[in-house]
Amino acid sequence: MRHRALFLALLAFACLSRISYLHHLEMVGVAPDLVLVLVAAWALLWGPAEAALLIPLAGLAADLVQEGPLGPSVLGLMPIPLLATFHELRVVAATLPLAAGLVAIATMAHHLITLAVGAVIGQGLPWGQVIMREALPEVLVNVLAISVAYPSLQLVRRLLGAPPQGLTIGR
Amino acid sequence: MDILPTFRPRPGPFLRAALWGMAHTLLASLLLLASEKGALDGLQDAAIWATGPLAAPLRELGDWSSDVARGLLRRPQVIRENEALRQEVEQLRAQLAAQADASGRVRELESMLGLRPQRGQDELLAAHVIALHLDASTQAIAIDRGREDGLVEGMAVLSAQGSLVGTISRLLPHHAWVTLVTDPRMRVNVAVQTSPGEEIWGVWLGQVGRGPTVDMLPQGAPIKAGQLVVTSGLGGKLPPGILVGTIKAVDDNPQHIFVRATVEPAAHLDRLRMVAVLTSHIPAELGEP
Repeated sequence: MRHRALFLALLAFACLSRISYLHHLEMVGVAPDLVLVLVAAWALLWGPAEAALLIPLAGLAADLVQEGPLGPSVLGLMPIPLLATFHELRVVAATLPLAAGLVAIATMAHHLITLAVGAVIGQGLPWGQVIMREALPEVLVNVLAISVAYPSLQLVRRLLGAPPQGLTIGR
Repeated sequence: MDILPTFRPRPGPFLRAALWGMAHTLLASLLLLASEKGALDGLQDAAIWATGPLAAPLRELGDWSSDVARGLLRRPQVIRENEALRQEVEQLRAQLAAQADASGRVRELESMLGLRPQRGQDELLAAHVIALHLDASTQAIAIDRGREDGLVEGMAVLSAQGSLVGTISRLLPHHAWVTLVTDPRMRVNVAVQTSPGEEIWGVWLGQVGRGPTVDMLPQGAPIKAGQLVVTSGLGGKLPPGILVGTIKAVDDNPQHIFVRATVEPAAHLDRLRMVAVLTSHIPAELGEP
């Protein structure tokens, strides 16, 4: 259970950062999406099942503190467990490049899903502009962020003692 | 002893991931639906109420660190800017003195002619800024006033100095989200003040990941950097005469039908602590002509 308490603390920190100072850390015009980076690193380190369990919570928390309806972030984070499954099956070794690749794909998927949801609920934005000016720069920034977050969480996981991978409710 | 191997059907990892995906989609759809119907407004309200006090010290710390870093990296530039601003303040004070005299005469003439003033006495409701959502595709702030304080969607929100910050876009019982003038979805009917008494109408447009622009300005219009952009009042959504920003650069390519100008918002939008909601102006909802 300790690792879940840690996840909640990090999630709260990520959400608070977003509504307070993250805009000061903008590089190439965008700030990192700390919630996405956290969930992606978590999926690789604690398994896709664990991430799938925590995604509704993370998505809801992210949406609760931003302008707009609830739900798009849950959808945006949805591809992460599927991508992390490649690691679980040992299709790709669990290394930093894998984490970077996962975050890059997840960031693009997150933006495409959010754009689609926006178009459906009548809050559409020009897709080309969002992809060129926000999604692609954010891929770069999120990859940088996970390059710091992944090794740090790897260390924390070693200190906490790795729980068995998979759905472990009540442990 | 069993001779045949036992077979236990278990979903493969990809099937399992697909099932999670379906569960997440279902949950997200339910959340979206409930949230669009306003059923989760109370939850959003409570979340902003709970996170606001925790975010405030982080904001202070972030702003302070940013100031220190900027001061260290751009010291010579800051000194030059400071000097330029001192001169501008002096110039503006002189203009203000002249304007105070002129507006007194206008009021006198209006009362003599029996004209209704274009903007009556503004009624303002002060609010604290408690959360920011500043990214390339959304520029919004949350304030600690909401539906129960009498706010209405579309009301103008002004900075402490009186310039336009944005409009109320999402109302919760005790809080509201304000879409800033830099948001890509923002559209404001504005007028560029080219000379005393002369205005040219245009449309203020937010852009994804870029500064806002004023578009639809006629070719050949005497638009120059430094001119003030104010609300025109067209459409009735906002009252006229509220300062929105200043012209930064003009793109007057003769091959374009309209002139487009990049603009700088007057309010310092990422440093807002207090704002004022203009409650005396109820945004008009005009139908088709």
